[in-house]
Amino acid sequence: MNTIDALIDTLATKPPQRRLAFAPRVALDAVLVTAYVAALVLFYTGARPDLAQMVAQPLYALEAASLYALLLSTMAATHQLGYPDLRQRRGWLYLPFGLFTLFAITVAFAWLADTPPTPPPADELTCLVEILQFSLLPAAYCLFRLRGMATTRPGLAGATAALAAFSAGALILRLSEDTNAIGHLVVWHYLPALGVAILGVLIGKIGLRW
Amino acid sequence: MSNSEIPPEALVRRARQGDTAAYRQLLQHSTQLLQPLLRRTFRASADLDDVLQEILISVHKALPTYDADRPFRPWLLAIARFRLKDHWRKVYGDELRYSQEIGEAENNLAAPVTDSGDAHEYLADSMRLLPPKQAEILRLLHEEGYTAKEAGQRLGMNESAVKVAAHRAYKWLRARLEAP
Repeated sequence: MNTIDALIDTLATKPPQRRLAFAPRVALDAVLVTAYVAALVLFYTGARPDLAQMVAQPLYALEAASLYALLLSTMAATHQLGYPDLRQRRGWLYLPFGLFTLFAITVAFAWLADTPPTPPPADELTCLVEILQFSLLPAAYCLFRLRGMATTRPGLAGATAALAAFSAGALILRLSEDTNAIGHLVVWHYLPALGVAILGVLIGKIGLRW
Repeated sequence: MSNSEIPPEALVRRARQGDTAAYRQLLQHSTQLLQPLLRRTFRASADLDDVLQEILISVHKALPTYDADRPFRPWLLAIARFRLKDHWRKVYGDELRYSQEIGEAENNLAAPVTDSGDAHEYLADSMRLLPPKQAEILRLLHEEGYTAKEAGQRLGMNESAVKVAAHRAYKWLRARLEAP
């Protein structure tokens, strides 16, 4: 008997009977964790005082809505990446790119409309630190779930998990922080996502190997 | 429907209910599917077996992620590609790790670089990786001192087939010895 036959004999004694939960359900769990963090933050810090007026403004509403859609699509793509064959639905991976384009266009329009430019808040770095804090739990949850799956693209899965968590943090802060300085938002709220994605690639390559 | 005609998707469903025979059949089916693909990549059967074992263990670990309503083959091939990449990463990583700087190599140029003992040992190791028939032909020709005709009579082959097989074996060994 050769080694392959011996291995098959050994493995065949214990067929894996577990089956992962329905894929969209896995992504939904991560969204619920994010909603829990958002509820907690908004409960303690409160929503921005002018939220009702801001939501009535098309650019703010579109920015928040596209950020939320980006969050949902990156969460879905992240969990799709947990399956070796992406559940044979590769299209989900491209959805975040489309939504990111919509988000970027919205921010560009908001920047053009911000005349004269709104002065930025005094302590700009605090925003980034808060976003990272709000992102921690969703990121940890996504990576934990991915560890229990079988991704064949660990770097990409790490990056999408990090981006999903960061967009959750950015959305929470956008709903709670009272600022409309678009230059500040781009530099301190949105651009750091690039660094976070690179960090996600590194974490994924190390932590999501199986 | 005979057992060999059961599609792998159905075998997975049965395996999930604890059917060990179905699971064994699924793993055998996967092996049959992968072996010809891996044979195109690996000349040495030891490497092929190593990678195939890695893939089968990965299939076992990842089976919960397979959705039996979808075709099995793309799922299996995705895992196979992943493990194959891992294998090459490891091979090339080791080559880089153990490679020598050109400056360091200069220090060794004065010393004899073709130690016959080492070369003989390396050749003996390489011969073990040859297909059994070719290895046997080389053994008969060079260790036992048979002629090609005598070796052919012993192995039930004609003389020219022995020479062709020996030539292929020399070519493969030469390429292996000359490889950096």
